[in-house]
Amino acid sequence: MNITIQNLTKSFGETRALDHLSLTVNSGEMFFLLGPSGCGKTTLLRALAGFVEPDAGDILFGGKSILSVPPHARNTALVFQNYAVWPHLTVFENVAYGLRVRHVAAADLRRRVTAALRQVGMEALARRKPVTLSGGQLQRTALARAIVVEPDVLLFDEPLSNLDAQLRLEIRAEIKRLHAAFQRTSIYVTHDQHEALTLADRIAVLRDGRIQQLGTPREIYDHPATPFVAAFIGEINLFAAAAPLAKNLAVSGRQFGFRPEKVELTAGDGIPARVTDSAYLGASTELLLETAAGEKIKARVPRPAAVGDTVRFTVSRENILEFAQ
Amino acid sequence: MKKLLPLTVILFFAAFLAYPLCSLLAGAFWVKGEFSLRYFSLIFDNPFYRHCFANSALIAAWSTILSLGLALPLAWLFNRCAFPAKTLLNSLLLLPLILPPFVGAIGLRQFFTRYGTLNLLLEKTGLVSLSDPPDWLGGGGFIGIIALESLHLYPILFLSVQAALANLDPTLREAAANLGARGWRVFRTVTLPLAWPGVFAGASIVFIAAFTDLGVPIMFNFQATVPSQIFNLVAQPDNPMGYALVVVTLLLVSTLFLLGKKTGGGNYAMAMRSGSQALTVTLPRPLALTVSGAVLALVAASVIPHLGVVLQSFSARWFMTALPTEWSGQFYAEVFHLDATTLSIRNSLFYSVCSMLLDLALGLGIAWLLTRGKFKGRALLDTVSMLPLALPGLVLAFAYYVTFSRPGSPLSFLDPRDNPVPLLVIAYAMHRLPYIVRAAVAGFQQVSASLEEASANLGARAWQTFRRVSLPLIAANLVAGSILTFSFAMLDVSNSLILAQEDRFYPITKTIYALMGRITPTAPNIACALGVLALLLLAAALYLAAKLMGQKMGQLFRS
Repeated sequence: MNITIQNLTKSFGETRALDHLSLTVNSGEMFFLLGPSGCGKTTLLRALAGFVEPDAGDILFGGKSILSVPPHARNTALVFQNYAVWPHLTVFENVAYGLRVRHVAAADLRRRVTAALRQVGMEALARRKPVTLSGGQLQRTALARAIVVEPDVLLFDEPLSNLDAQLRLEIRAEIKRLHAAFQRTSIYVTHDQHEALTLADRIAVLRDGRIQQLGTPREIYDHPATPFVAAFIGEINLFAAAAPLAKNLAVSGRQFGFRPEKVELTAGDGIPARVTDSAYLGASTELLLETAAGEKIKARVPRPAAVGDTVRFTVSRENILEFAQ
Repeated sequence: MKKLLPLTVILFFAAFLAYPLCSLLAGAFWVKGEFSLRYFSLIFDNPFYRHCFANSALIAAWSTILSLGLALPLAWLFNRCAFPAKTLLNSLLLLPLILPPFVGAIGLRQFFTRYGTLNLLLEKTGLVSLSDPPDWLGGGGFIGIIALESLHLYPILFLSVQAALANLDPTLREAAANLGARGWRVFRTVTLPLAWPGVFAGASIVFIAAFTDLGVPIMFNFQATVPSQIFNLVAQPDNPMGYALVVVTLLLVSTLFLLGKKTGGGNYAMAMRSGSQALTVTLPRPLALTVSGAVLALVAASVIPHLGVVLQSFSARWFMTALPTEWSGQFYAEVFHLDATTLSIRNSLFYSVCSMLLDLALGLGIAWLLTRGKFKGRALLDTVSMLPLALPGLVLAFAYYVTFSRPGSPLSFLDPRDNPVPLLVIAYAMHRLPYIVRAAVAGFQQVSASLEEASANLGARAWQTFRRVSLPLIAANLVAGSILTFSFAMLDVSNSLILAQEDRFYPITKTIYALMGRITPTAPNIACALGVLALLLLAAALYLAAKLMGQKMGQLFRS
């Protein structure tokens, strides 16, 4: 099921959450909406599920407008940030819910619910009530509940943000495996760049209700369209066109920048700089450098350097990112 | 459905709140086609009515002062100290609030009249002579009324002051202590000013309740109070004095209510709550036991009147002795055999069940609108649905009677003189509506909206979501709220006394009142037996409700 969003606009009072936003999601794609809080990504997701009514624009599922379709008839399945697992129903009944309202016959229902629970490794806990489950188990239940109804579209609303670091990796892998197995059109909202880079087929970076850039994870990381995208996904040393460094690096006339890991320390020629801070990260060392002109540069280099040392560095031309003003 | 629900709610409040109140005001201010304040000057020119107002004001003022005297130290103790059985005592303190003082009045009389238990006991010690025994109830029951009102109402103040103290950030007190202030000074300069909105709100409710209570003065047959006079004037629908008395009461109540809201508006205590928890002081063992004992004694004292009712319901002979000399269960048998009592029990059960169902439907709808609906005027709906808590039962009952019995009224099919049943059910329901709205709102607030969205998202229609997700999750609150509305309706006084004018429609409370007025020697005993049965029902219902609501029970009674 491909999804087309046309000129979607939504305001809450003075704030414009979505500003004439248009994009197309291909069938079977894992599509990410990435951005800081308040960028409109959750509003867009809730508009897809039908919980937010847009002020203008259209949403098409498989070429048909669904704006007049009520939430329960859209055949989407939303995975919530706070799980939204019903506390009065067992794990089995939570997963069976969508099938029961669809009047699926008892035998078929049992088979499908069991299969879904097996998919997420929750088969043994089917009779448990949610209060006895951990956060990870709750989110697995929510995942099973979403896939069991075979939705046209799977919607993920920051599903990992309430989990601790270890579980986050586990459930992330689970989502990746499930998507590979079922190939449902999925839209995933997050502010975590790592989730986006590891899981996404394509990413739309949002800011103030508009798309800043749309592309594959590599396109967005290697060729960020704006300084905002560059800073939001990964880190960047950003300089104005007139900065003294522009001359040293042979950039002219445009705002430019480079990522810390693209800074190379050189033995001979290079730009001299003093190390003002050094943080040992194990696999690499993060240095804060200051040039004679007072420009501050973050560098991630393979070998350590001590605070107070003077080093020389360079950035190769192809690693310099230039931005239109 | 989306349109129908708000419309029903609006119509209900328009027909049974706005319309009776407006028609009441019109009756008082609109004389022979023009605006007039004539009746008001008539009231205040009449020395008897002036006397009534003075009495009611004195009763209310003394009840408030005595309640403050009990509630402030109690709230402080429960907020700051640890002592044995604290949780149990905390719930026991709600008991006097729930026990109807109307029934208790009978028992109090038995103990404290001139030839009552206390004087007979004191006579044995030689402290009192029976030729001229002291009148403990004072001036035809004046002191008795104050005692009953205070003992009934101090828990309201206790609850609101306790809540105010609990919301106080302990670091504010610590800051004062840190700057050198000591115990009493901290209380006077920091704790009390910050808790003041809670204290004032509680005190104004106590004042209003004591001023407008009809049941207690009428059981003492104390005529010179405003409520007693209003009750007498119901039977004279053409006499405008009733309107004027009710409207003056209403004005007084509104003024106090608005003042309370205004004072409570600056509730700074809530605004800056830091995470720190107040530490309770562990009292030394003997002191702690004394505190528990004192609180228990207070609870015991609060139920003395009701104890008197129980005693009298079993006493076959109780004349000029401290306690009954012969005991019998015959009056309970009579309650179930006499036509008057069995009929009133059936009536009360029927009215209360109907009003409970009406409350349940309305309360659920209003709570849903308040928590899940998207519409303008939500604040207004919130205020209006809480209004019956502030509106004295007497005022509304009087307004109902005069409005719906007036010929030519568009709702004259509800005329209480023909058949008061529909109006009684509506009056009961209107009065307890805030409780069930609060219970249901609390339920909806606990249920995260995403639980309902998850259901809609998986294909459930609105009613399926409501039935399968929302309803099971708030069921406990709804059942508890329904039990409360039912049991309070069973013991309703003002509406029952005012609206039910014919024997065959009498509910339990009006039958108790009627029995107490009969000259048959056993009538008071039967009235007491009926009262005890009502109390038992109430106790069972509240126990059930408390089981279902748990710790949140107290919140329903807070102002």
